[in-house]
Amino acid sequence: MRLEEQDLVIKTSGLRKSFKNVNVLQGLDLEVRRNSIFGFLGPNGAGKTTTIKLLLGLARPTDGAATLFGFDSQRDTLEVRRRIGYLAQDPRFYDYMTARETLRFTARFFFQPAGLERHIDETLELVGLTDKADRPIRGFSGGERQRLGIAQAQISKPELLILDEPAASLDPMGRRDVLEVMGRLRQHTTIFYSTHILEDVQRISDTAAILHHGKLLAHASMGDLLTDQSGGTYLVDLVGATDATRHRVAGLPWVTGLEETTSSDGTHWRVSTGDASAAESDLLRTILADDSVRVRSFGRRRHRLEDVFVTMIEGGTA
Amino acid sequence: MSLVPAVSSGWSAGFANLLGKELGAWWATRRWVIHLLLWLGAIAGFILMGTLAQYRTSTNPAGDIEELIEMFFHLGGFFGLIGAVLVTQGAVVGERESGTAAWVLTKPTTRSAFILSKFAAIAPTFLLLSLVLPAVATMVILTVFWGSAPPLAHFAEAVGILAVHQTFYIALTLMLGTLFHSRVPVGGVALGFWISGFILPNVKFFASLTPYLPWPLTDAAARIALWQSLRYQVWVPVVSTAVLIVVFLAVALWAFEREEL
Repeated sequence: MRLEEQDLVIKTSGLRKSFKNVNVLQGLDLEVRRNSIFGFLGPNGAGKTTTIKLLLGLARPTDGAATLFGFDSQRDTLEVRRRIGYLAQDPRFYDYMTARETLRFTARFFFQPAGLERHIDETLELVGLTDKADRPIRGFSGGERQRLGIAQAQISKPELLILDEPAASLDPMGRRDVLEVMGRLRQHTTIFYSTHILEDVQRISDTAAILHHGKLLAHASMGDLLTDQSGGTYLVDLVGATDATRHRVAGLPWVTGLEETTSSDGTHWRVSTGDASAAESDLLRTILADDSVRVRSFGRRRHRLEDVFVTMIEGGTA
Repeated sequence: MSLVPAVSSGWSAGFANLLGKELGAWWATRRWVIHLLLWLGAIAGFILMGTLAQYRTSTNPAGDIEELIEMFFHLGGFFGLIGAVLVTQGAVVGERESGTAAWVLTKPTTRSAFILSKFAAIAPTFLLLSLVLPAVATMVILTVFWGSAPPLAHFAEAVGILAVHQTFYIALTLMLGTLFHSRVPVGGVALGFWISGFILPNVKFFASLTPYLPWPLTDAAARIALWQSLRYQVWVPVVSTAVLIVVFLAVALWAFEREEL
């Protein structure tokens, strides 16, 4: 995946990080496109948080470089941080402050005081903390803390949001809320977030990368990741007399296999093909040519992200 | 109304905001009240108790006042430096442990601003609460009960010298917080340095260094307040201690700049 430089919000080249001779990150090459929601996947200890710390200038790379908006993450860290909002995996704030005071403190790094209070009110409303705005944070639940974390990360109206496991510690309702907020924010900003919750990535991301033991195993659009790259497997549901049609389809030169099952609601085919373009143009046409069958559903099989992830992690390669 | 971007760059980016936060941690909470009561009780309280025990029956009021003034500077020096270490030892270590340092440093500010805002908030606030206000209370007690107080200029000069002494321990502890990752070595080394002030001046090599270190400042402050003669020029430890404060801050900035959070 090569993109024009001006379209890139994040670009890393050969990014490496070692701690006491342990290679935590091994030559990471990453490109994150403007206005995308980029899911950064990997099991615990894969190097996701280390990558984020390198991007934020909180840690120094052993080798390689990272640029954000064309600024070097180490040399131009102030310029980088003017453009980003960050939510840590386990967000920590000053417990004696209220949510409103926390947002005011955060916002003043970016803006002068004029007009700030209204912006803070709007942000509190966005994350549903208006009724708790003036309570000390020490009494907040995990979900409330996470919502405050998102609020402080986006209060500067950043061009890029970096979220480290934003939903990891939340219950299903909290997770749903956080994903909803992320969905709302995508209209204005690029979101780069790390996670090991694959369901969330499949739901809201348009691009994803899979990291394992500090190595990048995959880096592609969700469509590419989830589509069978071998030529395609098609799932077809039919009713009617299918024997003749099955023989004709199985005899096509680019069909490499056809499995049939039947149930009370009809016949189900799983057609494996070796030529994606031939299958795309001719498979459905061939089936419909037979008047004795009716097609109830037809589509190319898409993997679940979990399948892709497990296959890659267990295989260790892309 | 559209928002106006903050204008700050270089090392001071975010400094004013961080300083406001640090001062808020003292003055926008009950922390200042607790410290004020603690220091008034620990220092001026002793002076008041000594006064109440003596002032009606004293046969040598001038000598008793001198004793009380000496007590103020020794108590102030002792409790004050312990307080300075306790108050400062978590300033960097605590924020590193809790993750708030990493959070703050993802905002457009600098590590220098982070460290210097702590020093700029802790030093004057702590000195006001632990030294200046107890000193004012002591002067009031002496004036009200004894009808006599040391010359204000001398007393103020002595309090200033003690302030340099306390500031030294604040800077030392802040620097140690950037070098160690736990409160134990931070507090231990700082208090260890103070304790070594009772031992090392008796060792030949260190005896010659003593006038350049903060150890004699407590005694010097008491003597100046009492208008007594000193064995050496008081400006020598004052200036060398001030230089050490600057050195400690420079080391703290250097070390924290290299820190991985």
